[in-house]
Amino acid sequence: MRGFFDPTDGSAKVELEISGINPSSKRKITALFDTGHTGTLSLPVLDLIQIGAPLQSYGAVKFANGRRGVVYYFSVDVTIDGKTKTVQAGMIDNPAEKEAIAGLALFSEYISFIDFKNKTITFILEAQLKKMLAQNAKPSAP
Amino acid sequence: MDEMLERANKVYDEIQQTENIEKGNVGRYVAIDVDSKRYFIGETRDEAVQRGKEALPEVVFFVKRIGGEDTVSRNYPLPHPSNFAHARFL
Repeated sequence: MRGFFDPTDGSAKVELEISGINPSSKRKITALFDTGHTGTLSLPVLDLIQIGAPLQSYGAVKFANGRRGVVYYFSVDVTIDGKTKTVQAGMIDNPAEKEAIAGLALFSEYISFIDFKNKTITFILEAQLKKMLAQNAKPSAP
Repeated sequence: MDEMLERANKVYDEIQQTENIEKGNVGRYVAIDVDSKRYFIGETRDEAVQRGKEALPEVVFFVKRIGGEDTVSRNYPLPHPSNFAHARFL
């Protein structure tokens, strides 16, 4: 999986597929990759309504400005590289907010390389990385 | 809203006082049914809620990071530009 730096604002973004109760509700979204977000995913309220995600939990979070507030979490299926997992996605309750936020926990299975020079982000599974390194370490035939 | 969180945090404190769940669990998550005060611990928020839902499928759980709090680095309730017209997909 690869991400990119959005030239309009310089922020890191990733593409994800999300769906709710009905698998046919699957849709592609672009999410901000936020290393300061300890959760998995925060989605705009309109996205959650569109995919029909069920409410499952709530909790308190601390925002960058020090403000604390309650966030509602919905069960959402997220597909990354063809692999689907169910996560607790926080609701962004401001209807004016259109951008999803992908947090650190969403990529807990991955190793990430951020190439600031070429403005790309690569997410790779540890097993894949080990395989690649092993292939590169093989001595070439004389 | 504040009352709801206040009540939930009070239940968490009660559980902590009686069960000392923070010992050995800091950084994990606890999903609490505020009414019955039953709780379920998981390595992640997803895992804690999943365990709770298996036992109490109808409950909307209060979930807390044990011994800490979750952070969102952007103040996302505030509107901000989201123009992807020139995004470069690699």
